[in-house]
Amino acid sequence: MSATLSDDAQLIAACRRGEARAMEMLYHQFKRRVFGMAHRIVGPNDAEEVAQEVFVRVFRGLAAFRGDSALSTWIYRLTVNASLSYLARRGRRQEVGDETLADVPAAPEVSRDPGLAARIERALAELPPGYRAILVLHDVEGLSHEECAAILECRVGTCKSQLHKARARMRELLGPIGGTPQ
Amino acid sequence: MKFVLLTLGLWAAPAFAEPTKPAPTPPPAAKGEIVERSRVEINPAGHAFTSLAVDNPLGDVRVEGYDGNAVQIETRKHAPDEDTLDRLRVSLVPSADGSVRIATLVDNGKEVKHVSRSQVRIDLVIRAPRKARIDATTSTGKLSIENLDAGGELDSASGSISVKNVAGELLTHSVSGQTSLVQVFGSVDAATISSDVDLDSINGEKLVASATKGRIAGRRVMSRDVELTTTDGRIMLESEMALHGHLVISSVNGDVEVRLRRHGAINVRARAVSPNKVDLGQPANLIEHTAGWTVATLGRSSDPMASIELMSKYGAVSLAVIQ
Amino acid sequence: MKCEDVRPKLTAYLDGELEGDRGSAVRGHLRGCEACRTAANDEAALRDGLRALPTLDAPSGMWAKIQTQLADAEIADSEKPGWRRVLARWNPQHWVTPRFALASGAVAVIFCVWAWRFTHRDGGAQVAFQLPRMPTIVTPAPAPAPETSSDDVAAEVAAVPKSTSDSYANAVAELRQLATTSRASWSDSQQKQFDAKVAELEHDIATSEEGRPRHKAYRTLIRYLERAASRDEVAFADTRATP
Repeated sequence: MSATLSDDAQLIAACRRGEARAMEMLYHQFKRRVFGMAHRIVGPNDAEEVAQEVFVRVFRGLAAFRGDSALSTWIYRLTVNASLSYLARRGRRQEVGDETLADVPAAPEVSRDPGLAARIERALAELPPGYRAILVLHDVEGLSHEECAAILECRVGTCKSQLHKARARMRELLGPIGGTPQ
Repeated sequence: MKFVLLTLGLWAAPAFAEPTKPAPTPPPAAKGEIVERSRVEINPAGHAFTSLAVDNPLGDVRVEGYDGNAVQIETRKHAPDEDTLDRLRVSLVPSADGSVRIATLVDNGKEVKHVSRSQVRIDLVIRAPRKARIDATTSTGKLSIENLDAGGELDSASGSISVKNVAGELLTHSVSGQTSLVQVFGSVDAATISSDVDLDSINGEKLVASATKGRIAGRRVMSRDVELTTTDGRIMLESEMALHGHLVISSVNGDVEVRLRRHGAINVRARAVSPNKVDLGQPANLIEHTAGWTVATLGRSSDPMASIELMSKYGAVSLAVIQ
Repeated sequence: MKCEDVRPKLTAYLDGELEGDRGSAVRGHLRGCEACRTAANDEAALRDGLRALPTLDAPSGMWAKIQTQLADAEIADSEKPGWRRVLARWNPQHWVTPRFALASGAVAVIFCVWAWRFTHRDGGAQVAFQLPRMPTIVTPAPAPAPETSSDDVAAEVAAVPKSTSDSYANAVAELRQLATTSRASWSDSQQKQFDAKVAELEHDIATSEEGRPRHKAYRTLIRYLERAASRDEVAFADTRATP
C-alpha cells in the first residue's frame, strides 16, 4: 500500500487515544477487505459476525501492536485467524446456494462472466479452509507472495507451494473453465 | 531490595497511566494571529443527503465519509485580527433535493481594513454520509476525501488532491496540485497540467489520466480500459490486464514503462523515438516491424483479445509481460 | 523439459517468478506440449476468474455493531477487579528471563493489593466512542461583495478563476506548438479535421462563462491537443470523449 509509515503511525496513535473519528477512519479503510476475506472464507451467513469480531480485536489489540509488521498485515492476519478458528469452532462447511449468492451486496463493477464467478464461489466454498485462505489472499485480494507469507506467518516458499496446490484443487473442483489453448 | 523496589515501580506505573482522551489541540497560531474553531451539524429534513458541494478558495478541504445521516463541519479560521476574523464566513445551504452547498467567502463591509490573502485562512473538515457524492473545489488549499461511496468531482488550482478508499465515478483536475488516488473502485478521470499523478489500487471500467508536464505512476491498476497521457513526464504503470481490456499509454517526451500481468491473448503495438528504443521483452522471432510500429501478438490471434498501444514520440518504450 | 518438471513450475511461471532462462524453458515446453498448455491456460483462466470476483461491501450497520461490542467490552473490563485489569495489560511475552519472572511474581502479590486500591479511584469505564453533540447553526449567506481595491483578500479571491484560466491558456499555447509539429506529418484531410476541432473547442472557451465552465472547456481542448501531440492519430483523439 502506498500509505506512508507516518500515516499509519498517526492513525494508530489516534485510535489508541480513543479518538472516535480515527477509529472510524481505520474501520472504513479496512472494512472491504476484512469483510471480503471473512465472507469468502467462512461464507455469507457468518461473515459479518467474524468481521465484527476482527475489528473488536483490532481496536482492543492496538495497544499491544508493536509495529513489527505493517498495520494492514496485522489486520489481515487477525482476519484469517479469526475466520479459520471460526470454521474450526463451528466445524461445518459453508453452503453456498443460488439464494445466498443473490444476497451478496452489489459491487461497483459487474463480473464479466457471472456464470463462471458463481461456479468459482461455489468451488471456493468446497476447498479445505487453509487452501481457501491462501487463494483469497493472493488471487482474490491480489496481495503479493511476501504479504501473504507475512499474514500467514510462513515462508514465502511454503506460501507459493500452498497456492499451487490450492489452485490445482480448485481446477479439479471446477472442471474445464473454458479458456482456449494458446 | 533495590531490585524489588525497581520491579515494584515498574509494575506500579501502569496503574497510574490510565488512557485518557486529550482534548484535540488546535494548530499553533502564528504570532499575532487569531484562530477560531467552530462546529456545525446539519441534519437532513426529509430524505438523506445525497450530495455535497464544497467551495473553499481560502484553505483546505477534507471530507470523510461516515455511517451517519448528518453533515458535520468543523471550521478553523485564521485571521490577523478580530475585524478580519469577522469577515471570514462559511455559508451552508441545504436544499430539499438532498444536496448541501458549503462555501467560504470574505465579506466586504462598509469600511474594511485591507488584508492580503496570505494573512487569512479557512480550513474545513467535513464528515458526510458515505453515500453522498462530493463536488469540492479549492484554490491553493489541499483537497482530500476518504471513505466515500458515491464518487464526485474534485478541482484545485495549486492545492494537492488526495483520494483514498472511494467508490463511484471520480473526476479530479488540478493545474499544479499533486494528485494521489489510492483504492478507488469505479471509473476515474484525473488530469493535471504541471504536477504528478500517483495511482494505487484502481479498479473499475475506465481509468483516464493525463499530466501535461508531470509524470504518471500507477501500481495495482486493474481497470479494464486504461488511457494515460503525458507531454513531458515519464509514465510508469504496473497493471493487471483483463481479458478484454484496452491500454493506451502515450507521451511526447517521456519514457513509457509498463509491467503487465495478463491472461489470455494480447495484441501489442508500440512506437518510440526509434525502433531500437522499443523493448517488448519478447524474443525477436515474435516481433514484427510495420510502418514504424513494433508489433507483437501474444497468444493466438483468433482468441478474444486485449490490446495495448504504447507510444513515446521522443522517448523510449518498454513492456514487461508477466504471464 | 518434461511435463512432470513443468507442472510444479506453472504457478511460479504464471506469477512471473521465473526470470530469464527458466521462464523461457517453460515457455518453450508450453509451445510444444498441448497438455501442459491446457493446464497453464486453465490455471490462468482460474486466476483471472478469481481476480474478477466482485468486491464485496461491508454491511452498512456493521460499524455501529462494532462500537456496541467495544463499549460492552469496556464496561465488562471496568467491572473486573482492578488488579485483574492491570494484570491483563501485561503481555507475558515481556518476561524475558525466568529470574525476572520469579522476582516479579513475588512482587506481584504485594502490587496487586496496592493497584486495586488505586484503580478503584477512577470511577468506571471510559466509553470512548460518543460523538460530542454539536449545536445546529446555519450561518446566513452574506451580501454580495462590492468592488474593493486590488490589495484586499476579497479581490484576490475573486481573481482566482481568471488566473486559473490564464494557466490553462498557457498550457494550450504550448500544446498547440507541439501539435503543430505533429500536424505537419498528417494528411490534408486529417489536418482539416484537426483545425476544425480546435476551432470548435476554442469557440467553446471564448463563449463560456469565466470560472468553472471556462475551465472545463479549456481542459477539453487540452486533452484533445495532448492526444493529438502524443499519438499522431487525430481520428483516434476525436473519438475519445472527455467529460
